[in-house]
Amino acid sequence: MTRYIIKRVGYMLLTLFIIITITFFLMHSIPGDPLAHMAKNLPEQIKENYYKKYGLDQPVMVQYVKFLKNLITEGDLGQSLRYPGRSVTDTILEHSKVSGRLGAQAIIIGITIGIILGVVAALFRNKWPDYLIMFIAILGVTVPIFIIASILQYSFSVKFKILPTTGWGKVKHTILPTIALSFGSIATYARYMRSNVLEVINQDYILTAQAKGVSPFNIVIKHILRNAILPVITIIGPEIAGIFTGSFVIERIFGIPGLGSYYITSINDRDYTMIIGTTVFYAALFVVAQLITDILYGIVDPRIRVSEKDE
Amino acid sequence: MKAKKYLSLFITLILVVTWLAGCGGQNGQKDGQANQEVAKVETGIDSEQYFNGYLVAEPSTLDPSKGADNYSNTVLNNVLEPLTRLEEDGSLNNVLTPAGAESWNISDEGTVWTFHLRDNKWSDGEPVTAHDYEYGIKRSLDPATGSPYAYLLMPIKNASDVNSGKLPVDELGVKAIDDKTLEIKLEYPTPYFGELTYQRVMMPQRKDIVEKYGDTYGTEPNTIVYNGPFILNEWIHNSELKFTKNPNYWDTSNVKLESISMKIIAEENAIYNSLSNGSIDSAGVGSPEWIERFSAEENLKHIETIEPSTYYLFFNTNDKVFKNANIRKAFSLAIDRQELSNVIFHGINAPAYGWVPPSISLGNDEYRSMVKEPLLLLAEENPDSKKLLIKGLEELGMDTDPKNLTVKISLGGTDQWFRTYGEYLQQMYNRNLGVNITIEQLEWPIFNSNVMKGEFQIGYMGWGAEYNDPASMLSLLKSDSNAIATGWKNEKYDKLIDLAAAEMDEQKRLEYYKEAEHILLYEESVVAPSVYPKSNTFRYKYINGLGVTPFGTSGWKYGYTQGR
Repeated sequence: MTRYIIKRVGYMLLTLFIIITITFFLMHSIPGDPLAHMAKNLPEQIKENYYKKYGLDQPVMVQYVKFLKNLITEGDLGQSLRYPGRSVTDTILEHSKVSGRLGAQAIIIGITIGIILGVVAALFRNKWPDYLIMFIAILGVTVPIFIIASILQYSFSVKFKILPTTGWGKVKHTILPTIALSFGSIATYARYMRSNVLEVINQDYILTAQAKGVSPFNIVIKHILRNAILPVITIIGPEIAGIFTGSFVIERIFGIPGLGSYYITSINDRDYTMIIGTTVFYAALFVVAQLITDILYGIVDPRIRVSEKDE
Repeated sequence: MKAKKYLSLFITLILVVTWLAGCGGQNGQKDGQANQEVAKVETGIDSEQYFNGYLVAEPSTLDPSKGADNYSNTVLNNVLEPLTRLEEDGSLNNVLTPAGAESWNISDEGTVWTFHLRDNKWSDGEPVTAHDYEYGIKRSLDPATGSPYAYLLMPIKNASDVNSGKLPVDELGVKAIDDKTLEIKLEYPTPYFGELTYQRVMMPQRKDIVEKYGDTYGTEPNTIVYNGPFILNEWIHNSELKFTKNPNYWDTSNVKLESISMKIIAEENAIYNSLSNGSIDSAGVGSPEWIERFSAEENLKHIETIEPSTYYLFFNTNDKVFKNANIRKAFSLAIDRQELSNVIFHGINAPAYGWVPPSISLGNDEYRSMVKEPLLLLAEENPDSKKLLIKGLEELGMDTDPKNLTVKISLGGTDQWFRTYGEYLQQMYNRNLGVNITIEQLEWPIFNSNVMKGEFQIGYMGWGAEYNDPASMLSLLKSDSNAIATGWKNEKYDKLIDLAAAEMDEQKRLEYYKEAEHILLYEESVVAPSVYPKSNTFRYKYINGLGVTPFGTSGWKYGYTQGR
């Protein structure tokens, strides 16, 4: 296991390095510069001073080496160009906390409700609870998230006036965005869980357990759930990485200071340091989440551990 | 896919927002009520004075020298005290009013401005001195600062050489004679210099604070000191800014609002929902359906203003077709501006037949009220734009059948609005001129970079004036300006703009500008203005005294609520 993890960490670093390099050169090759957000063409001298101040007058290769050096030696991602003076690292940490909190709430609700609904739907297959749950699930997957969010906002903060429209800081600010965010995952997990349960339910060992007189509740918890949940872990991994990066759409609608908006705005603003910073952050989270998923998999499913040893 | 959709939405937003210069969510609107009311209604005002507003995006930084966005401009106007403020009189004319400076004199030649400062304190108790203003201006022009807006200060003596590093910063024509006197020498007499004295790049800055915080100066509420009507207490980045009244402010007795919250709300519907349920007190509304809806609300007052901006098509005068003035005229006249503003802008924007938008004044009068829009005359004399096109094609020795002419229009936006707009232009030109049009939709930075390289035939853009003088629009087309890359060079035009820039006599300046605009649109048609954007603001009736004119910088200073 240790050797396996070391090997995986090595691959991880290599992946990150490749991602950083490609992103760095790609973003510098697209036309435009960080002054583009002004939508004005500034006099040459002004631009020159600006480029010089932020080191953009250097050849891209020089900028790249300097960036890598700062990243490796000091973990420093540099200063944002759109928000002069703000450290990219701090910005990412500050805003990913917000996204993380919201995302965690949404994912916990999404998984819990999704799994319960999925199991219920499978147990009542082709009866009305199944139809109802699958109807909701289809809605959740097909209706765009901004429509759900807008409806929630209009109903709860304009019509009934019980929840704030936008903002951040108190629990009440998180309720609507959490529901909106979890809607999609409830649907995904419910559908996924339903088909897994249906598969497990027909296995011989369930029949054996029933024959041995295990109570239906214990069959569901101990035998069906444990086996059916396994594939769900595969999709949880990447989703956990996603929670820290936030959702651009939800953040915009509810005025939440998450990281999501930075992914989009930094590209439009040609905020080079922020583009590369957010990319590194997401890539790192993603590969780490993959690694954790694989390790978790090994814990939940002993067969994988065994096959690893065989290698 | 969803992300992509929002991306384009966002670009439009950026464009719209940057075009509307000086319109930061709640700033920059015209109102039936004005500040002089303050005195009248003193008595019945609410005991609790607060205002909830919003900004469409996070302010970049409160460092006056560095940021270049309207959101931080809005904040800076309320937390720092510039030499002057552009306030509003009873009939909503903008008046340059003493602020940080109590008074000023201009030398006879118009090249030396001496400002006499009043007693004012920084939020940390230190006195505000002329050295703070001197330092602020010098820092903005110091090449090491990399200030994007420093170009506004070019009329100051040696500014250009200092900014290019040819002269040391000390050589700049700005000097604190003593703690209370600031002398600014100009390169040449600049009639509109007064309009620069309230810009962020001339705001006072504390040397000790700037040096203490370095690059992080102005990035957090506690890395900058304040000397304006309000203090920024809390800044939750990308979410909310909270202000309170500044007790050290020189004019604190005239400031009524005790606290202000500015939420950051980017989503249009979220803004409208927030206004509907009263969580914000005022909002700019862009969609026709919502304008109709809010107009019916009894508690809201509707404020409509023409922004000091122009949306326009512009021609590449180095192009083999558009080097011909008659063809350019034909393409300008073929735009049915009334129809365009009705169909594409839902009647919200006003058709534009001139380059300088309404709401820009020369001296105390609106320029547009004194000078007839040149395109009206051109249209009168040429009822059939197709004839002009054929004439132009003949002059070029090209095939005179418009059917065989294909022209490309480049748009700097990729969303649905731009698509509709492109399709509309296509149909309109086909109908009115019989030519074939292809539309190229590009992401803004790419569009911009193509235009700069001269790789376009017709482009579309908007420009918001930066200061309240026709020069801010007309100087954009000078040969040495790269603001609008038409490639057009006209000696007479350049001369007129130069003459006007140094002319202190208003009547003469008006004549110069009038002639220049005539050359630009009537004789040469280098740009084809299409509409003047308007802004629609809805505000609860209990809100009073907030600055409403597009250029005005009184901000929240005189705001108060009554009957909330």
